[in-house]
This record gives sequence, C-alpha cells and structure tokens, in this order.
Amino acid sequence: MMEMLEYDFMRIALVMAVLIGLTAPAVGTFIVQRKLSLLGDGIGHIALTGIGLGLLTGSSPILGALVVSVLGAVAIEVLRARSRSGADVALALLFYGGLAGGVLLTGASGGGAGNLQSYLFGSISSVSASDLYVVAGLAVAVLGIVALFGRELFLLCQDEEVARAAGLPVRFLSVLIAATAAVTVVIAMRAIGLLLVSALMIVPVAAAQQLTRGFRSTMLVAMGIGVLSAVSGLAGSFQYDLSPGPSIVLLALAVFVVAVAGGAVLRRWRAATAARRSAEPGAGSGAQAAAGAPRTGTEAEAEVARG
Amino acid sequence: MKQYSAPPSPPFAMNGGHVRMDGRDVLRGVDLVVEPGDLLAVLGPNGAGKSTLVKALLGLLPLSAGRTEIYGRPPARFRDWKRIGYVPQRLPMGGGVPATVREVVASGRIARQSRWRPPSAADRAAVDRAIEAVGLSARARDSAHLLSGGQQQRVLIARALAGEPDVFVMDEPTAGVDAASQAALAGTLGELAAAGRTVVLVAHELGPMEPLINRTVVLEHGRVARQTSTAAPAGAAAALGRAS
Repeated sequence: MMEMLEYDFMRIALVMAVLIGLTAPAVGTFIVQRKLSLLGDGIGHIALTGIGLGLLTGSSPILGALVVSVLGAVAIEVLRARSRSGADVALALLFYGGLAGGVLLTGASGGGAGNLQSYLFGSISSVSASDLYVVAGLAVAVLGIVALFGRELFLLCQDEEVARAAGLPVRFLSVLIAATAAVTVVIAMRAIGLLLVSALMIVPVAAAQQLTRGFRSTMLVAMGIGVLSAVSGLAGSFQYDLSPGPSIVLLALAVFVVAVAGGAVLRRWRAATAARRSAEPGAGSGAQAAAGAPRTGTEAEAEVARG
Repeated sequence: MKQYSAPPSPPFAMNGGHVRMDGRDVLRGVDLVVEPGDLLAVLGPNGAGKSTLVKALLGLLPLSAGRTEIYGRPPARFRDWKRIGYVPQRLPMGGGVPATVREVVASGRIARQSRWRPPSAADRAAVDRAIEAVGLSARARDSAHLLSGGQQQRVLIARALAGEPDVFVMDEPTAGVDAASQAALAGTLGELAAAGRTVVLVAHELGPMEPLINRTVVLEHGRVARQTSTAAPAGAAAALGRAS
C-alpha cells in the first residue's frame, strides 16, 4: 500500500484528496440546509463551458472553469431571488447550455473525447504540482470564508427572513455561498470529475446528520467523512486499478448507509437516556432539570466524535 | 438631519400601509404607531393579514402603497437592527441539518457581533441567560428540531432574547403551544414589560398573556377594525403621551 507514495502524482493526488475532503462537505453543510443539494451539479455543468473556453483560448482550463462557474453561480442566485417559479426552468436552461457549450468548445479546441472524459469523471494522474498550488490556494479561500462568514451563513440557511430582520446582507451572503460552492466544484473537478463533484458536497453531510445533533458537529463529522472517503477511495483505486472519482463517491455512499444504521441505534439509545433522565424525581420542568442533565448530552456528543 | 427638539421616533410607524400578494390585497391602508413600552397584540381571524402586517412593519414584505418606518427610517435604510428581535412563526426544517438549541439561540446575537471577532464572554452569558429564561437549559445541547412545538417556540423566543433588543416582534408565539409553554411565555412577557421593552405580537387568543397586554389592534380583511388601549401595566413608564 505504501508504494503509492513513491509516485509523485500519487503524493500530489493524496494532498488534493485531503483538501477536497475538507472543503466540499464544509460548504455542503450550508448547501444542504439551504435545500440547494443540486446546485453543485448545475455548477459542474456550467464549469464545463469554462474548461472549453480555457482550452480553446490556450489559457488554463482551471482558470476558465473558475471564472465561468463563479459567474454561473451568481447568475443562479440572481435567478432564484427574482422568481421562485420561473427560476426552475431558467436554471435548467443554464445547465444544459453549460454542458452543451462545454462539449462543443472542448471539441472545437481539438481536445478529443478522452480529454473531455478526464474532466467529466476526473483524472487524478494528470494533476501537476502547479495544479495543486492553485487548488490549495482555493481551498484556503473556501475554508477562510466558512470560518469568517460561518455565523452569518448559519442564520441565513436557518431562516432568511430572520437573517434579514437581524440586518444581515442577505443578498450578498446568498451570492457568497453560491460562489463558494462554485470554487469548491473547481477544487474537486480534477480528482472527482464535474459530474460527480457535488456528491462529495452532499453525501458526507447526509451521512453526518444521521449521527449528530448540532450544526457545527455535523460539519466537522462531514469533513471527517469527506477526508476519509477521499483518501481511502484514492488509495483503493490505486491499489485495485479503479477510477478514483467513482471509488471516492461509492465509498462516501457506503459510509452513508452505515451512518443510517448507526443513527437509528444512536437515536434509540439517546431516547432511552432521555426517558431515564425524565424518570428521575424533580426533573419535571426544564428549569429544575437544568443542573444535572447536560452531562449525558456531552457523553453522547463525545460518542459521536469517537465514531 | 438630527434636531434636538424633535421627539424620538417610535419603534414602528405605518401610514396607509398597503400590501399586495399574488394579486390580492392583504393589507388595505393600515395606520399604526407602536410607541416605546407598548405591549401590543395584533388580533383577528385567519387571513386577516396579521402576519403580513408584522412582516411589513419589519420591511420583510414590500408595501405597494403607503409608508412605514422603523425608528424613523424606512426599513431599507434602517441600520440599527440590534434593537429589533423578530420571532417567526416556526423554526424551518430546511434541508434537515440539525442545530442544537444553543446554536439557534446564539445566532440571535449576530446583530451585536463582529464578523472578525469570536463570540465574547458577554455573548455567551447572554445566550445562557436567554436559554435559562425560557426554561430550556437542560435541552441546550439537544437538536432543536426534535423538541416539541411549544419548546421550539421557546427556542425562537430565546433567540430573540439573546440579542437583547428593545423591540420584540412575535408572529403567533402561542400557536399550537401547550399550556406550560404558554405560561412560560406569559412569564417572559411580564419580565419584558417590567424592563420597559416594546412587544408587538400576533395572536389568535391571548390566554394567560391577556393581563399583560396594554394595546390591541383587531384586523379584519386587511383593515384595522378596532383598537383598544388600557392603562399601562407596571414598568411601562414610557407610555407618557401615548396617542389613545
């Protein structure tokens, strides 16, 4: 297993996998709570046009994807804010346009089907050290935004009207989270591919929320699941000569299935503890129970963290 | 702009407020001034426009005619949002990512916090006090979405309390709430009244809150049908000179 570290491209790929595993679920937690689970997919389609443009003009495909997908994400957010009903069709038009434009431009640039496929489904072996620097820079930017705007984004995703009545810049924050999702798509596209990119934004979060009770803990557990599936999926694909993108995504889905089962057990255990707690004398009203109870909550949380 | 002789602007002042939604007139020319220290209940049957009125007061719904001001400024130009605490009807489920009671309540501090600084000790203490005030200290680490309807309502009130605003706007805080939570809410309102806070709340019926309310506005078909005003309860000293 360790022999993979002797290859330069594998060392680069593993670092990239860690970065993807950290960033995609961090952004994904907000995306899921905002009910935009398919946003990443849409951005992935649009990013393809950027890759086509980058190839055609001889500049960097990553740069092209970054610019076009961020613009696309902003357009999606503007459309969503304009009209809830018309947005659905408008979004579909944007996605199809992005995909068709990407395929057309990639073809026109002389890049064959193989080149296109490497972007659609990922091709980690073609990643260079300079790609890694770009991805690392973008990952730092994404995690910085999550850290800096996290509290505001949390309230925005909980309840947009309350966020507005708290004086938050709701429109700016909505565009910010969409643009951050677009950057995340670009981070992950080389390794996982544009068509599977959003899986790593959604699936670890869906798995984590089976086990957790809080927003922050969901995000942290999801990031753990993201790193775990990205790194082991990559290692497994090297070992057994499989495509890395699909391996990573299938592994994340496997974790989700385990988490669903584990979550059911965990909830039953918590319910039993809560029942025992309320059976104690004097624990009837919330205020009176305040003193003794939080300990069990802490233990449950620790249980989750230990996995 | 500031004139020293001018009286301070009231928390809310709506003049001829008109709201159209989906081609229907939901509010039709509402005049309402909420004075500091008011405990104002907006009453009326379903569909009378009660929630629309409070959302329009906050600028969450645009007026199609008339004007409304928050502390003397139109909502779009109002900046001092830390003075306002909004309690919506319910805690939305969203995409199902859980949030603990404490996380939800702590988000009520946002208007008092800087993006560049972590929460201060004062922030944490205010959140603790707010959770304790609604009697949910034992559930602080539990997922807010798994609580009962009445407990969720208390979480939402605690979120507004945590921000320590001057004005509370509560949209049906008693809808679908058990008797214990209603009593807890009445207790909280009593404390707010004693502290001279202003409260605007939407309700079907007042129940245990009734003795605390000093003004009521009854809406029917988007218009103010009746207004009543009783003697101010203890603590509402700011009621001097209130228009009756």
